[in-house]
Amino acid sequence: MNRRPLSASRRDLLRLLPAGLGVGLLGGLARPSRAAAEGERRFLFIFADGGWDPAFVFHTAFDSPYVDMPPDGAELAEVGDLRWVSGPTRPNVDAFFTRFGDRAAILNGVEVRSIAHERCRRILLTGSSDPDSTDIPSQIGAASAQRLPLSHVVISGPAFQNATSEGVVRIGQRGQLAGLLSGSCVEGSEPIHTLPSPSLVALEDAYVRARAQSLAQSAQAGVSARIHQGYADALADIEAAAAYQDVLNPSGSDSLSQLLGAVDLLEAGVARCAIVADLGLFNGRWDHHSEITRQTPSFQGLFGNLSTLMERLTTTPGTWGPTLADEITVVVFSEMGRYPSLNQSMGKDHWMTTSMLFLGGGIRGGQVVGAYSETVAGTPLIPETGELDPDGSRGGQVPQPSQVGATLMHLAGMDPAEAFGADTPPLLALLDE
Amino acid sequence: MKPLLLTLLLACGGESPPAAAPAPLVREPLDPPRLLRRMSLDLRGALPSIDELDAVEADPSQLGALRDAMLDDPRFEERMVVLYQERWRTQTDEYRGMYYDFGLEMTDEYEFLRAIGGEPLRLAARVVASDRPYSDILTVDWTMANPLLASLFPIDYPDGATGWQEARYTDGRPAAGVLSTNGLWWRYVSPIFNYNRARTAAILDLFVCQDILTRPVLLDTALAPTAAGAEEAIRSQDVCLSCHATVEPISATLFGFLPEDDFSALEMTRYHPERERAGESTLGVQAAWYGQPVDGLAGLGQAIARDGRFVDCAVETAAQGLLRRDVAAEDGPLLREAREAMVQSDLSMKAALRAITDSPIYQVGALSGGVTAADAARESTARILVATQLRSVYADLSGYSWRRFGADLLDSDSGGYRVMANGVDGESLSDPLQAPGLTWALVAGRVAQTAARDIALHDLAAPAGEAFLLDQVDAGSTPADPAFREQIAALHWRLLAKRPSEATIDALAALWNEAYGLSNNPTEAWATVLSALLRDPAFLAY
Repeated sequence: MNRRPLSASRRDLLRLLPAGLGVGLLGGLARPSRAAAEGERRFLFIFADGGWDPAFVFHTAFDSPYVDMPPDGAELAEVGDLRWVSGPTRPNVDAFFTRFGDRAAILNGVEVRSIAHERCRRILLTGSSDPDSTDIPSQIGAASAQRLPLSHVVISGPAFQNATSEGVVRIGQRGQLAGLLSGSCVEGSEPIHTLPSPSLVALEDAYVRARAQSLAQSAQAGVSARIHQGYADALADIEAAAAYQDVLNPSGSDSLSQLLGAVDLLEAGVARCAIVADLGLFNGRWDHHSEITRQTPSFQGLFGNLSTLMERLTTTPGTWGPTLADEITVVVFSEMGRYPSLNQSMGKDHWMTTSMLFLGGGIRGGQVVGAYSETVAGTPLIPETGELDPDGSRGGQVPQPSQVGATLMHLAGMDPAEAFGADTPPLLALLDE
Repeated sequence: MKPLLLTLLLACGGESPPAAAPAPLVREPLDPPRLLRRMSLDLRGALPSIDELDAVEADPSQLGALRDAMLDDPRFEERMVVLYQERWRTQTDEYRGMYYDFGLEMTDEYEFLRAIGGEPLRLAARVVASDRPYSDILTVDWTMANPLLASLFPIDYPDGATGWQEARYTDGRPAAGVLSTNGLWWRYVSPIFNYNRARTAAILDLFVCQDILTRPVLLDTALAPTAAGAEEAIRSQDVCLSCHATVEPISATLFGFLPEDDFSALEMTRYHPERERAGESTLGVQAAWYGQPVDGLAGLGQAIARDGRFVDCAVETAAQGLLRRDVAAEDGPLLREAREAMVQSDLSMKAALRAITDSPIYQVGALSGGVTAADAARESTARILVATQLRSVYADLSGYSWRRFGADLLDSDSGGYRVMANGVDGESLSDPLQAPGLTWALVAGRVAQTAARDIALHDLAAPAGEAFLLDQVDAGSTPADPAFREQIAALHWRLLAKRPSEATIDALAALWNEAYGLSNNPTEAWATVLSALLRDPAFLAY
């Protein structure tokens, strides 16, 4: 995906930087004002890694002969049109929906069409099983009206890029990006490495930037030009990103710290999208082929984090909306569902239909969109209204990950038909418009 | 990567040809020194020497002979390990068995991970480097092991040997090349009740380039979702059988690797011959490869090796590795010539690599003639060095490596920079990225800065003949010395394979002067010049 060239204002800003300001010195650089364009929605993706069981929260299948519900006295809970599975061992779920249910929409019956972890992750994030597909956050980030230094930040969790997609920034599993920016990355290295003084780095940076710009301008259109221009852009992005070293260095590696770190980046306007993985209980992932009840504490932890997240979003003033909760859309998902019935190990194997949770900006909260059939397939629905169309006689479709992608692109102000075609309508029923 | 067959089918789709034939696309090759550099990076993971550069500059017809020598270079085998990793993706940072399961320390983690994932890659690389028939990768009765791997797995490692060696398992596993390696199946796991189907998907993807996981798993909405119902559907429903008729008979050959406990490292270290025959009875099928009955896993390896798609896939894999992109319909001539070369030489992969590197598609440095937008976007007129290439280039230049807690940071993800510098991690990045993003530029910059200081410190104090790069100057040299400018020119030639103009030498000398003015230290000044060259776009691209 081609990125927009630097805006005139960014270029001017960079040109005005003192020549001696290199990466090593940029920690003290004044941050540019919020880079995110006015009115531009930002997105936070929370990925429950391993495949959650919708029957613990989203799939209220109490009467199903096929679905083994949680054995902890689970029962139906409702607030308005929002219905979920309540269990005494998961009070955080109830607390979350009670407090923030009006900002939350559940999407049930999403048809993943695969049961392989790696491929399901790709399908959920890209809307396609094509190995060359690029994920939705990357596409949304790259489509920002202003070119952001960190258009999509991968704090943890999956990201899918094709060989030429740009703009995705991985913080690193242990926050390596901050160390690279500050130079602390050489600490503890074997053998001992040292970096030049900031003034020498600045001198060298200026030379390299000039060389990169020179080659970018002289390269023949095509791959060479893309590489050289990309390098010149990346060097400029490094300078911009260095001003945000503190928010690029979350205080902890746990899910909540990462979530709040992601909000810092989105709030600062330095990034448009971010993804954080939730690895469940003891970071053991959600892939419970045995003892599915181990998802109980994982859901408890996840919804506790979601409450903290929403508290932050709903109480922080926004840039163009009343609060950050109006500007940031949160997508909570897992790569697949679990088999409806228990296996011999009291676990649940993979299942190709799942649920998703949407929060915050642009979402019509307090509702459940979509449904599961008796056999735990997705039920066709009318994407504009959410009305169920079980026999498909009114043109309804089972919700697809590609439609979720189209919906998010629509929210982002993009034309989803360009990515997915006209036969993949956004699920407007999810949206507050 | 998209299978070529699909690409070809898409290319056959229905647009009418234009009325007037467009001007043909002309691929202009890189100049001989830069082409030598590309070949050396692709085949040895290292820069060409000054002598090699001088040779092709003086006589470009030397290029072929130098390329052939690269195929026999000791570094070639290690480079093949890296190329196969980009396609097979076995070197991840997490397996179900980890170092602590074997009583190892955290500082052993990296070596543990790379030993596990490296096993099948090194078997393939050894077959290629020793120019044995490529089919050996699926039929030989040996594997590759180092002392660590041999201490983990039931492997008879040669007495007194060191490093990676050909060795044999002692647990009765069949002779099936990489299909009999733990490393492949630790990466491509199968939960017990998946019955190896996930592994079959990997076999089809890696060895015949058929990615069945792109095909949707559809649900018969009338079917009860019970475990028995699902197994029955696999055997009886047309929508399932379209894949599973192929998958089940292959999966049946892999039951010797199916653990009884998904998380038992001990279970996973051993092959279980006693479980082999359970495959056919459990899945209710006869073991077969696309309808052709096979005798267990060894028979499967032989059947795949006889399948014409195996050679096609081998050539595609090699071409994608060297072109640094997916192959497309326009690459048909390259693929055909490489395939023919391989078939005519008893399945020599080296023959295929010669054909690929001889191709104008590989050698292209610029385009002319009728260049369409699609041509410009596709043709690899340049590539960039990703993390693993930076690692090998620097190691070759000066022995430099960047490690922490035992891990090579350019080859690891958890605390390192492999994925951040565009390398393949096996999951989220399945192709080496060719987009020079922020983290790639940062890593390349930090490596250059630290390596340049190492080299400058070493070289300016080194006895004559022992310098890595700065062999014409010493700490007392100044820009007024003739050797100073010669040294800058030599650095430029060695690192970029370009003769610098006088203006470029002037600019680098000015950089040295400014750095010396700031530091009053010739080592810092030379380190600055070196680092600037190591971050030069012409160094990082090839």
